[in-house]
Order: sequence, then structure tokens, then C-alpha cells
Amino acid sequence: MQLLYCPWEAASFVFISSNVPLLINYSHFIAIFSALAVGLLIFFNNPKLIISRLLLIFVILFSLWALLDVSLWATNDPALVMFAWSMQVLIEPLTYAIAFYIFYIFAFKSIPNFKLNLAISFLLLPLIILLPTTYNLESIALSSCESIEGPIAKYYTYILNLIFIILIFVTAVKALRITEKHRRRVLLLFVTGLLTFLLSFTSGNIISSFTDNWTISQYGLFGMPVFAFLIAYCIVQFEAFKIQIAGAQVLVVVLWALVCSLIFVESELLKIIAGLTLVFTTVAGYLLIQSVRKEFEQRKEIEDLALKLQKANDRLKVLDKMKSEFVSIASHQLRSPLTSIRGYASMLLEGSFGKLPKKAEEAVEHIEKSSSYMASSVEDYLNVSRIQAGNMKYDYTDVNLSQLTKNIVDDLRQQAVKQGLLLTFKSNLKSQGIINADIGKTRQIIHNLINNAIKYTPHGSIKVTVYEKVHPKRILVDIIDTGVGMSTETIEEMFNKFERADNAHNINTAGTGLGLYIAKKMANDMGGDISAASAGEGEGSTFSLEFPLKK
Amino acid sequence: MSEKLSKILLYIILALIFISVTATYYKTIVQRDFEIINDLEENLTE
Repeated sequence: MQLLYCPWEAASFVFISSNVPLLINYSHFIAIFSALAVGLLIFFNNPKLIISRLLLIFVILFSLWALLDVSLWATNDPALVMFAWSMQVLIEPLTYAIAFYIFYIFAFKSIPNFKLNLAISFLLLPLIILLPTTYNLESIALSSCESIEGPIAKYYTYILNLIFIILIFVTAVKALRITEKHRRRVLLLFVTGLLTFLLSFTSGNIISSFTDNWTISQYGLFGMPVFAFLIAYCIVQFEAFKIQIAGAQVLVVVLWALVCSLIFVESELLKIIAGLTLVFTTVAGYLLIQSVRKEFEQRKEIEDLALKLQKANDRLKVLDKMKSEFVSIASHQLRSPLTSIRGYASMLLEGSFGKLPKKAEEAVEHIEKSSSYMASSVEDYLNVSRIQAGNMKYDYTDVNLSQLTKNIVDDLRQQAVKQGLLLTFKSNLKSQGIINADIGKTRQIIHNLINNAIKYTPHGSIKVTVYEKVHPKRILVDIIDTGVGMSTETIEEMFNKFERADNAHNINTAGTGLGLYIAKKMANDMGGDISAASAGEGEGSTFSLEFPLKK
Repeated sequence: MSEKLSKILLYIILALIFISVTATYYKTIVQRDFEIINDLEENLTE
């Protein structure tokens, strides 16, 4: 059987032939290299994502198309030309269809509906069915080894390409309208890269097909590095595929491929320049990848730590709530029997059950004193749990703060005198000094502050002064003692839970460290505040309680 | 449902592509069943 061949030497390994111009190698292999770099890196970084898989199929099909094209230039076998040409006719619109699906999924994060899929399938059907027939390729001219295209190859494939480009454009317009600002920029870059490639690819092929000058179509392939570059940029800048390191790698690989390809250019000087640039790019690329990797790892570490902290914080909140609930329940259980103990101890001391022997009276006095302290502690714990649970209730009424303070001072004077202290009260008010507050809680706060002053003043005096400030209109109660005083560090922390002054333990061993915390919280809740000042340890202290005056 | 139908459609298209590619390969490479326009003055023969 006599076989006819085109008039040049047969290609070795299908692609290598002196018949292939340098421009073909230059345009095709850069495009294949950059496409595969992007596709493979994205795929291996996130193989489960449907968009990664589609992108991989897209770049594989494109690379196949480009390889078939090189083989068309290299081979002298008409049969291989007819087959490769047919495959190109099939692959080209399929690449466009996949490009549309990639963009659709990227923009809307879902696949198109069945109707659209059906319409696309019907569009592809004539191409698939008529591929082996003469409607696709009619014949081959031996002198040029080029196929004579039928209506499918000459018109229908290009119509399909244009339809898919229009579909991508329409999808982009629709998606850009509904996406938020940050993502809009990513979409815009992505669609610009995609359309640049598809338009340059298809226009090159259409012009070549109609002019029979197939060199023009080679320029269309330069759209692929642009597409690869923009995708890589999207990855690095906007974490489009959540693989920033891979994005930086792609950027470098594409740049490297571009520079490397310059070696194909026939000029000694250009080769030297390209070589130097290659070294520079490799070093710069390595540094870029390293820095991006470092930053990415650091950020990931911080994010992980923040997440752990968040979890620990949530857990602590739950535990704190549980603790408060436990304290509340336990304190309620303790309060009832304590009331009973105190009541009976008091009755015993009053002689309700007959006269007690002297020794028994002393013992009962101890019981009464200790149970009173315990009742006060239980009350503190209950208040703390109420504050933490947000259950503290306030019954607001008009309170004459000056009168209230005077009454408390009168109540506590006997205790002060017992300790050899001088407790005085002075009012410098010009108005009536009425505030809107819960009278019981306000009483508790003032009682606590003066009681503390008595406890922590071994000798000297305690002055209680009530006065008002005009701007803003507030009323203040100052409790100034000549007691143990406090350091600056102690002042800063003393309103925290369970905090006591360093020297407090020496004087009063029984304190819970909750009194000031509760007092300040209650004052704050009622619109007031408590502050403390001291010149230092042994220099006495001043506690100021303030409330807004009722207008 | 729409996703399932789309999947079936995809398999049909893939099957058709496979058949079409096989047929093209058989016709061009195996059978060499296509018209060659011999526009050379001297044909290269093997």
C-alpha cells in the first residue's frame, strides 16, 4: 500500500522537527507550563474542591490542545494531522465550556441548574456526533499538511466559543451586581484573566482559520500566562483559593517560565540577559516564597491560639456561672440554720431559758459572735453570686444621704469608742442632698466603708464628711481615717474580688475580701462610684462614695 | 433532583465523546479513510 506524506522529514517523538518554528515552541510551551503550574498547584492544595478539579481538567485539556498543535506543525503524516486536528476541534469548545463552569462555580459557589446544563449539552451534541464525519474535516492538502475544514470546524466551534464567552460575560455581570465589595475585586480579576485568555485564543484561531495563516493563532496562546498570572495574583492578594503559598509559587513559576523562554530567542546578547534575569528571578522567587510561607505560618499560629483562647474563655465563663450558681445554692442552705443558731444564742444570752452560768454565757457569746460573722460572710457570697448572675435587684426610692450617713455614724459610734477611736460626722450640704437609690443597699455600702475604717484604724480618728459638687451635680461621702493606709498597688486592686490589703491580715484575720467589691458594684449599678486614696502604708486612707444628686 | 439529572447528562456526554473520539481514531489513524488533495508536483512515497 502506497502511503502519501507531506514533503518534509518525519518528526521524531511526534513533537520534535526542524519544521516547527521557534515561535511555536516559545508560545506553546510557556502556555502549557504556566497552565499546568496553576492547575496542579491549586489542585494539590485543595483536591476536594470541585473548582480545583475543574481547573485541573481545564489546564489538562488546554495543554493537550497545545501539544496536539505542536504535533501538527511537526508531523508529516496526514493521518496524524487529521486525527490531531479533529481532536483540537473537539477540545477547544470543551475547554470553553469548562471555563464557563469554573467561573460560574467560583462566582455563585454552586453548579448551574439542569436546564442550563441541558442547553449546553445540546449545543455540544452536533460537534460530538459529527466529529468523525466530513462535516468536520473534509480533506487534507498534502503540500501544506493542513486539513480543509468543514462547517463544524470552520464555523460551529467558533460559534460555540463565542457563546461560552458571552455566557461567562453575562454571568460575571450578574455576579458582580450581587457580591460584596471585597469579593467583587477578586471576581473582576478572575473574569478579566479568563476572558483575556479565551478571547485571545479564539480570535487567533478564527483569524487563522479564515486567512489560512496558522502563525497568527500562536499569538492567541499568550493569553494563558496572563490568565495564570491573574489567578496567582488573586490567590496571593485575596486568598481566593485559600492557598497563599501556592499562589506565590505559581507567580514565581510563571515568571521563571517567561524568562526561561527568552533563551529560545536567537541572539547571543539576549541569552546572556535572559540568563542573568533567570538567576535574579530564581533568588527573588525563593525569597518571596519563603517570606509568604513564614507570614502565613505565623498568622495561622496566631489564629490557632486565638481560637484556643476563645474556647478556654467560653469554658471559663460556663465554669464561673456554675460556680456562682453553686455558691448561691450553698449560701441559701447555710443561711436558714444560721438564723436559727443566732436566734437561740441571742435568746440564751437574754435569759429566755433561765440564767446561764458565767462560763456557759461566755461560750454562748462566742457562738453568737461567730455565727454573726458567718451570716455576714454568707450574705457576701450571696451578693457576689447575685452580681455575677445579674440578679441583684434594686428598689429605687428618694434617699436623704446625709441623714442616712448620720444615722449609720451614730450606730457605729459605740463600736468606735470601744476601740478608743473618735468618730465624727459633718455635713457641708447646701441642698437637701436627696439621691435616687436603693436605701438598703446604700446603707450597706456606707456601713461597710465606715466599719472598714474602724477595723483598720488602731488609734486616732475617723471623719465622715458629706458634701456636694456642682459640676456635675453630685453628692459625696468622704470617710477619712488615720489607720494603716495602703500602697498604690493595693489601691488599684482592692476593689477586685477576694482582694485584701497586704497589711489587712495583721489586723483583721476574718475578712473575706468581698466587702469592697460588692460595695463598688452596687454603687456602680445605682449610678454612683467608690474611690480610694492613701498617702501610703501607715498614712491613713480616704474612701469616697459619690452619687448623682436627684434633679 | 436537578443535580442528579445533571450528573446523568454529564455521563451521557462523556460516553458520546468517548465513542466519537474512538470513531475518529479508527477512521483517521487505522483506516486512513479521508481524502488527500495531492497538490505536490512529486509525491513522496514510502
